[in-house]
Order: sequence, then C-alpha cells, then structure tokens
Amino acid sequence: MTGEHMELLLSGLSSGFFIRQVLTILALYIIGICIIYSSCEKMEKLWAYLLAFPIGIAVFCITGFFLLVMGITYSALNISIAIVIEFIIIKFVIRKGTVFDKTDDNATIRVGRLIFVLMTTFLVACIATSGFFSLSASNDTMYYYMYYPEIIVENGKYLASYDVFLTDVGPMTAMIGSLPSLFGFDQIYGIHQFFNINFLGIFALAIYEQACKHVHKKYAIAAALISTIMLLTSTPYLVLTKWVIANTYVMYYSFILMYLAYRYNPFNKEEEDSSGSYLFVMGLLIGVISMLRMEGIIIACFIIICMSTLRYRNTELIIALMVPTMLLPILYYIRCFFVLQVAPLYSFLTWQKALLAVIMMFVLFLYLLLIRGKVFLKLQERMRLLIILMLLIGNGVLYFVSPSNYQIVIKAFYDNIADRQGWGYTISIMAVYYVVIYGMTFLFRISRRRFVDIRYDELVLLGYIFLTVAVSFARGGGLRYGIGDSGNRVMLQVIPFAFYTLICRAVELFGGLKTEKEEQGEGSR
Amino acid sequence: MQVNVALLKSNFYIKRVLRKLKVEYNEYRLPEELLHSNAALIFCDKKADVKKAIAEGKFVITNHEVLMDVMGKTAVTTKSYYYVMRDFLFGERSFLINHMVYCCDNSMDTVDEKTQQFIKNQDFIDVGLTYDEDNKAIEGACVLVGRQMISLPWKFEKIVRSGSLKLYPHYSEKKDKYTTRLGFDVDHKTFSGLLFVLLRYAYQRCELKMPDTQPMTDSMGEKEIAFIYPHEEYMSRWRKGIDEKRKRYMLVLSAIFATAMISLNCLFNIRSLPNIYPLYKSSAQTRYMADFMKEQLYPDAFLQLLVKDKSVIMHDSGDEYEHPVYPYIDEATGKTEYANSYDPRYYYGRDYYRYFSLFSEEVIIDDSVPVKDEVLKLNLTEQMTCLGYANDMQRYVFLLNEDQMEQASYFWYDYVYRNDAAPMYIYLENDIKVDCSDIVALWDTQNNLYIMSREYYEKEVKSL
Repeated sequence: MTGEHMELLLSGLSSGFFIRQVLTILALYIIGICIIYSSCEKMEKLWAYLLAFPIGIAVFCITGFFLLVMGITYSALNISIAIVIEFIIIKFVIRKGTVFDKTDDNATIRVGRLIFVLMTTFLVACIATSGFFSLSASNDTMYYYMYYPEIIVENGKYLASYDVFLTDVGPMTAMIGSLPSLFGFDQIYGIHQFFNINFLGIFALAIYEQACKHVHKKYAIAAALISTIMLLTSTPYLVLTKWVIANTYVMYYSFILMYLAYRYNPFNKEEEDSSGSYLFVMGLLIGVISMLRMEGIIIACFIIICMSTLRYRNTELIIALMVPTMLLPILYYIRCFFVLQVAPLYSFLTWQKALLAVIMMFVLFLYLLLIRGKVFLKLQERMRLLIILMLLIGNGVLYFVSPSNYQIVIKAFYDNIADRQGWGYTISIMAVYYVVIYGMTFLFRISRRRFVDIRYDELVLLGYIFLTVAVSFARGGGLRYGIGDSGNRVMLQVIPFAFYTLICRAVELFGGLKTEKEEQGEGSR
Repeated sequence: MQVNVALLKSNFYIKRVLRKLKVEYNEYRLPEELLHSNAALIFCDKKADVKKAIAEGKFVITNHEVLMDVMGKTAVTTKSYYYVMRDFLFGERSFLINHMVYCCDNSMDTVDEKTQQFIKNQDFIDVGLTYDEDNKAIEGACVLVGRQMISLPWKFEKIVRSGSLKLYPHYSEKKDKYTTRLGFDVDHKTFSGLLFVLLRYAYQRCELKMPDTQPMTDSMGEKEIAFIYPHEEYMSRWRKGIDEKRKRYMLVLSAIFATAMISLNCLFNIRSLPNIYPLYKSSAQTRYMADFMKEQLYPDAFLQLLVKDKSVIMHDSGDEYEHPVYPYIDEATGKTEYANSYDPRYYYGRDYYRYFSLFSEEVIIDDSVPVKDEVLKLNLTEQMTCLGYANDMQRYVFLLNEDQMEQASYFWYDYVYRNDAAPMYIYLENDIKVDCSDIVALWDTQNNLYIMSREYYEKEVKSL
C-alpha cells in the first residue's frame, strides 16, 4: 500500500470530521462566553473573548467529570442538559440580575460584535483543525488521552477494569479526549491547536497589560509581540504545545489562573466588592487544574497559597478556590477507592497518597480559616519569603530522607537541561538574561534605596520549580533521561512563567521600577 | 557659537561638573589669559587681578584666597568637616566636605579705598557656613555671593573626584539614628548641586540662559524673582540622565537577548529537535496520521477507524481458554483456597475479539474462516501491507476486560504483551476500499493479525 492510498483511505474514513471538530470548538467557545458573561459581567471584552474557550472546556470537563463520579451515564445528551442547567443556575440563581455583555453600546453593536467574534473564532478553528500545523504524539497521547476516553464514552461510566488508568490518567484531560467520541470525530488535534493559538493571545495580552504600567503603549505592544514570538519559538514551549498531552493544559490553565489572580487582585474597597464575580471563573479554572493530572491537587494547593499572599479575603479563597480543589478530588477518590475499589499493583495514585492529598488540602483549608490574617501577623507580612523558605526546607528534608534518590532526581533534571532534552538553548540564554536583569534591578534598587518583597510572579516561578523537584521525588521510581520523562515535562511547564517574569522585570527596569503596590494602584482595571 | 564660560586647564573638577551640566567652556593655561578671554563667566581660583575683569563686566567665580589677595590680605586656612546652607534663594542643603577651607576676613581696616568701594559695590551676602568636626562654625568659611562675583571657601583644584575613603556618620531617617559608613571625603553629588546653583545664579546675573534648564519663578509680592530649588532640579536632571542611559542599555540588551533567543531557538528547532522529537501532520482529520505508516506506529488507531460501523468476521472469540485454577493451602487459615495460574492463550485471540466487539458495529463468528494454524500456511504477509506492532493495541485491551481476576489487570497485560509475547504485527489488504461493509480478521499462530475486506477474502484468500 502506498502513502497516497493510505491518505485517500483516511480521507474517506474521516468525512465530516473536520466540520464536526470546528463546530465543537465553536460550541465550547459559546459555552465559555455564556458562562463568563453570566458570572462576571464586568470582565473586559478582550479578556472575555480570550478566556471563553478555556472556560468552555473547563465547564465541559467539570460537568462530564461530575456525571462520571456521580454514576450518571456519560453521554453527549446528558452533558448538554447538565450544561444548560448549570447556565440557568448561574444566571438566575447565583448571579441573579447580571446583564449579558454589560457595556454602554447599544444592542445592535453588541450583537454585531458577538457575531464578528464568533466568525473569527470559526475561522481560527478552521485553521487550527486544518492539519496545517504539525504536532507530536506519543503512547500517552494515543492511549491515555484518546483511546481511554473513547472507552469511557463507549461504556458511559467509570469501570473497575480501567484499573491503572483510573489512578494514573488525569480525569479532566480524559474528558477533553472524549470530545471526539461524543461529537463524532476522531482526534483532538484541532482543539489542541486552537487552545495553543488562544493561549498565545492570553500571554500577549498579559504582557501588554503589565508593560503598560511602566512604559508607553507602543513599547508595551512591542514588548507583548516580541515576548510572544520568543515564547512561541522557544523549544520547551514548542515541545509541550506540539505534544498532545496533559502537561500542555496544566501549563495553560495554571498560567491563566495565576495571572487572573494577580490581575483581579482586589486592591481597594471598590475592587474588593467586584472581585467576587471573577472568583467564579477562577473556581472553574482551579477545579480543572486539580484533576488535569494526578499531581494537579498539589499545583492547585500551591496556586491557592500563592493567591493567599494577595489581598483576597479568606472567605473568597475558601469558597471559590478551596471548595472546588477539595470537592473534585475527594469525589474522584471516593469513586475510585470506595465504589470501584481499584487497587492496581503499581500506580501513581494509591489510596495512601490520596489520603495524604486530602490531609494536605484540609491543612490548607485550616490555615485559611484559622491562621491567615489572624495570628502570627508579623510573620505573615513576609509570607512569600516564608513560602520559598518552606519549600527549600521541604526539599532539604527530602534530601535527608533519601539522598541517593534526591540526587537522581536532580541529576535527571540537570542532564535533561544540559543535553537540551526539550529545553534547547532557551534555558541557557534565559539564565544569562536573568542574571543581567536581576543584577541591574538590584543595583537600581540599591541606588534608590528601594527594597521590595519577593514579587508574586517571582514567588510563582521559584515555588513552582521547587515544588516540581519535590513532586518528582515523591513520585518515586526516579526520573529518567529524555525529553519524554514525566518530571522533565512537568518542569517544561514552567516556561510561560519564566518568560513572563523575565519580561516583566525587563519592562520594569526600562520604565523605572515600581513596587507591586504602585503597579496595582496604577494598573488599568 | 558664543562660549560663555572660561576656566583654567587645571580645574578638572569644575570641567567635569560643567560637562555633566552640558555647559560649554574654553580652557586657558594662565590666569592672565583667562581674564582676557571673551567669556562672560570666569572660574578663576588662582591669584589674579579679578577686579579688572569684573570692571569689564565679567562675572567671576573664585575662592577666598583670591578674594583676600585682592584685599591685600592672606587667607587663613583650616579644616572643615561639613557645610550647611539654609537660604531662601539657593535652597537648603548640607553635605560632607572633609577638606581644607579658606577663611575670609571681613575687616576693611588695611584695605585701600578703591578696593573698599569694589567690595561695597559687590554687596556680598554670605550663604551657608562650614563646620569643623566638633560642630563649631568656622568663621569666614562661608560662600560669598556678590553682584558679579562668587567666592567659595574651597579651592577647586584641590578637590578630586575620588578622594580618600573614610568612615563617616550617616543619619538614617527610617531608624532615626546615626550610623557609620564608608565614604569619600566630599559628598560630590551634593557639592555638584551647590555648584550648579551658584552657576545658575551667575548665568542669571549675566542675563544668559543656561543650557537645558527651565527656570521656575514664584511671585514675591510686587517683585517676581527667579526662584528654583536647584538641588531637586539638578537631581531630577541627573536622574533623568541615568534613566535615559538605563533605557538605552535595556533596549540594546533586550534586542540582543530577543535576537539570540529567537534565532538560536529556531536553529535548534529546525536542525536538532526533529531528531529527538518527531513531528507529524494530520491533514486527514484522523488520529492515525499517514506518516505513521512509514514508521509503523499506532496501527490500532487506524484499525479502530476502519472497523467503525462495519461488521468484523472472525473464526472464534477465543473464550475456550481459561487460566488454570490450582488449589493451595492458606497458611493463615489452614484452609484450601484456589488461585488462577497463567495461560497466555487466555489473552491473544480473546483480546482481538474484545477489541473488535467494542469498536465495530458487530462481530460475526464464522466457522468457515480459517483458524490460526491454517492462516499461517496461507503466507499472507507477502500480499499485504504491514502497519506495525499489535502488542500495544493488545496491551491496552485490559481496559475492556471485566473479568474479576488479577490476570485481567494492567500489570498482567503489560507483562504478557511486553515480555512474554513475541512481536505481533497487523497486516492490511493493499487495496482495501473505504466503503467495504464487512471486514475479515484472521490471526495466525504468532498472533499476527490480517485485516481484509470480505470481497478480498472471498476472492483471494478463501481460494488458497
């Protein structure tokens, strides 16, 4: 059989798949727009349009996940009904009285704008699905994130026979992988590429907004464009985004949530009152993150800890973020370990680890409930430094628990970075620039006698690195040399954060350093 | 262009300050040449006939040694420690200046009449005062500002930029206490500020405009006088200069970084990345990409697509094989229990059946289809296209196996298809059509799977 014949065969077997995938993307986008406009009417238009797709996917995943853990048949019809019910609940019960697309524009302009946005989405979806962009696939792609979801759809429920897949595959990523089976196409490559394009827009807008606080708009646009090109061409980003794998989604959702948390940080009383509406969206995002991969719970908890250094109220953090972070994994653990009684011989997630995760979440819950802003206030003033120190100490403890294993982990990271296994030259060039930028920042701050605390983005970046090392150690079995190693992939996820922090510091240095407080005070909201 | 300032070549310190202020100047070797120059403003700190220059309408900035010489006296020198100025016109400043100072004697007893008149005409006012290390004011060591003359207690020539490092008290506003820190013997930054103020005054007196400055004015009753807070003005200009430099450095650095990052990454991504990270294109909208065929990857992804909505015909469901059950005595209870042993035949044929049962429309068991021994004899491999290994496809069939036994788990499937079973391949009919409704699946003793349309089977295989 020739290659041409195979292509013809595949084309014949896939008739109608293209338009179905494009329409699925559009439907997810519309779901996202509806949820955003019904939950946080004050969100800026551009942000609403850029977040619609990730939110659409998040809503779909959480809905599907609920059906499965509650034992309700997982089908396109049930999911559609559930999403409509959710929308009605949000619109008419939780956020009663909100106005869809609250702007001063008249109805014609609003409808026209929405049509334009949907047409653009349709066009981008067509380009993303066209197969023009290359991608990479591995065993994980084919079996974990496409074959397994297909079986879930075929059976309509979780079964004990899924065995190690229940304990090793992130349930939310499996939900994304089930879209083709639910809506009559074969792969998620188009959805994946659409997300890639969407994320670049989000990243560019984030950089632009931060740059605007320090420099003129034209410089901010240039900074956003150049940094997005740098991100796009950087090897770690390319490796992760071309690869249809859960790490890509973890990277995207983590960055989006981290940035939104900073952007909508309530800095004054007025903002404090309106921040609640954005928290609903953040709650959806953290819910997805907690179950995208098995270590997602740890990432979700880490994000909440980072957010606790901002000005959110304890009740907001508990209700909007802690509840989804706890609820989704606990429901899943109950389904796996109590209902299905899954006990694979070797697996990433064991009931002991699940119990440990639940305890960890409760500890964080208690911290928010009883300690944050109530006791040890002097100590909490330097919370960011404290978090970094605790992570360092935690890593130190792990080293003393098993020095040889810890060394293996560090060596694997070092080898992968040094031999450019997925890192290319990015990390070397970036390291040099980091030294220069931070050297200059330090000198500049000394000259002005302005010493500031660890910045939020610096906390996220540093904390994420330490956390990844610790999680890789805790996974057991040691890491291995190669681009596809799980620990290496998790570390690759740090790249948008690394670029973001670097570009922000460079722009700050260009425009004159300001403190986080000054920035937020002046930031356009 | 008219150059308004002149100074002696040896005044390096003043030259440096002027350069920073972007003030152009002419240099002269001897004081006489300096005084005869066309400049309206002269820095002269060597003994010379400054009276004559002033009479010619020039403005002279000098020191008390020269002034005393004009008055026919000798200036007394002493050591100063710091200078304090609280003046409405020249602002407030204080700075460290651990240096020799000339003290001015204001008695006119021995001074001739002409000089007395000259001093009177200048209408000197004293600005600020220097103090010694014991915080005692040094008499006569102030700055004298006149109509056409400024006299300083310091000699410019003796002040060098670097100077020696010493321990000095430093007041911390935040802690509200003094600490000791290492510093130069002159607080050059603030001293430059003072020079700037005085220079600015001189420019105003000469009715000249200082380059790159915007005078600020404030109403003082009926009279509007030039009024600036020179130190702040000067410092903001200074900082602006630093900011501009920093911005330039940042732009250059960022451009280098961005260019290096983008170009090196592109180079790596094009040249090296494909070797460790293969990329494919899926123009056909299918999970299985055409490039997979060359590399014989993931054949099951194609198979799933092919059998969808089609009937699959096979010889048997492979369910005649079970794992043998053997008895054993439980050491804890002493009772006889039963456990499953391992028979690899439990997996192979049955897993094909499980697979097709889930993904095809229906599975038809047909006794007329050849069994695996017969299939081996047919030697079909040469007539068909190999799509790749079937081991992975089989390995993941555990997801479909709902038997309640340990042997149905991933652990066992992984062992069987990775370690126990030989590589098994999937072969596909060369000219298979998209629209064929029935698929025949055969497997041989080595569990190689042969996929063909019913038409092909009837025509080409059955007859063999």
